[in-house]
Amino acid sequence: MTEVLVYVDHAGGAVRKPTLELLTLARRIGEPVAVHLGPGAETAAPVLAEHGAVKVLAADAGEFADYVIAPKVDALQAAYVAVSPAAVLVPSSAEGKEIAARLAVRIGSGLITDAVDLEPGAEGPIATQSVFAAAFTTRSRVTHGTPVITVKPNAAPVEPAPAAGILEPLAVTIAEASKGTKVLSRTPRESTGRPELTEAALVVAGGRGVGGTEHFGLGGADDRGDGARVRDQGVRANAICPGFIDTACLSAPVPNSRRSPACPSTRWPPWGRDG
Amino acid sequence: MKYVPDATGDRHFAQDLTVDRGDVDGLLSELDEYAVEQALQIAEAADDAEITVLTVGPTDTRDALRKALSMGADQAVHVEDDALHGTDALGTSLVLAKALEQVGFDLVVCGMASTDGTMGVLPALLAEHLGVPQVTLLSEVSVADGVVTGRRDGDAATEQLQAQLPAVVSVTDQSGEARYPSFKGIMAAKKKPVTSLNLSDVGIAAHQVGLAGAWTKVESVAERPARTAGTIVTDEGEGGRQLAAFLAGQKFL
Repeated sequence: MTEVLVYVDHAGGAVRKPTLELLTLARRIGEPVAVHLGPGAETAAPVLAEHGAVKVLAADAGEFADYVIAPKVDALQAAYVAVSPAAVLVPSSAEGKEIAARLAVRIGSGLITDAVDLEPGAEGPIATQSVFAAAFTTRSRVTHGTPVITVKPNAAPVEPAPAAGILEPLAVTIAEASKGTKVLSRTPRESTGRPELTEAALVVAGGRGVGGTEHFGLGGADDRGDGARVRDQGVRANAICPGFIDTACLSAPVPNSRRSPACPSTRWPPWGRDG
Repeated sequence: MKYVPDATGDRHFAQDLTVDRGDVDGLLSELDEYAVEQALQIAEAADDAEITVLTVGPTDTRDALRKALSMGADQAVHVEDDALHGTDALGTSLVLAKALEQVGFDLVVCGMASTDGTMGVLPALLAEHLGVPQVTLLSEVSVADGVVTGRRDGDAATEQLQAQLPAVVSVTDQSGEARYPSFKGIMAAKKKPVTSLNLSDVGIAAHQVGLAGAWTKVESVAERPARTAGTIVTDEGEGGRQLAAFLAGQKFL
């Protein structure tokens, strides 16, 4: 059976939802082998197993935290060499895309970013992408080497599919050249207790026009309103791709010119309201 | 920097499934203006810095270089070759890396992504090709004593990063508004040197780039179907509630 590497995005072992979605997609192509870097592999392994990982390759090294990107590329490359997978899937976070890109150069393989769907094909996995502010949908595949594909949140449902999920240590040598960019300090972003904007299945962005949460009629809605979060976080800094966006009464809805760079896959549904 | 089709224009694909760059007006990718701005600020803070703007693309791409020169960059390098049509991101990064090695650099400043492809991987690809540190997605950047320092607003944390030059950095749209070219700047830009290089100048064979050399293939392109009329909720004080009821009715809540 062919194996598919899945790069695990997690916070100290708490697996983020997009990774579980990747496992769903990976199972369409082969047997998912998860790559967990940093602390918390023991916590993550049962969750990854529950969603289909046959193996969890884990490595923890101080360099993953002390330097950005490159040490993780070294580790993912070690996993690639150990597994010889049919494809490498990485969540489309900013970091994920950079790791995937560098891996593709190193292993001489084609790269596809920001896939919104993935299915097996006779000549390798076919990735669907949503481009030009979702005006077009393209279907592409990698024609050289092992496909390295980054996948956006909400590309597939999270499905339980229990597998062995055997935790195995991954031997990694971090190259000196990978220690070029030092992390002097790190401030984790404060958790609001709400889903990440990029991972939300539904974004409701109410503005001042509705005159506050109580007029929204949504019990338990974020008391700041998700609209505030959209603006706080910088719309362009985030690639928002939920199944539904509602921007009712938002005085400054994501404008077209601002939407396209970072939100190419924002799928404005026919029933969505804009402005 | 990248010359991109105007996002307010009717962007579409050509018959060979590449982005049609002939039919839509192009311009310097807005996100690259931030890179030019930060490069100018870094150069202004240094004694003897010189800014070279570099791009790959067809003849029209020079408009983007001129824009950057009119903002204050000193000179431009344009890699232009018919064989480049259809080159993917990996191929483009190789061409840029080879050109950078030829031109020489202490610091490469990139935008966070292009406004057409929006991949955002080019800075990382350049760092990998060039074997230099990547200090990317910075909202603040400064250079002193051969060291670049910056604030990366990452996915889950804000990080203060530091690397020795030479290095590749990318800056976000939070790094500071780009200046408008002054009339004087626009006039001066006309006299600034633009060097044209072809593939053999940078030491790349034609088969390494273009559609044939790409390691990815677009199998099909489909245009989104036209929007159908949605449900309009008129707000007469109860709009929010009606909307919530609609969402609940569609089982979104």
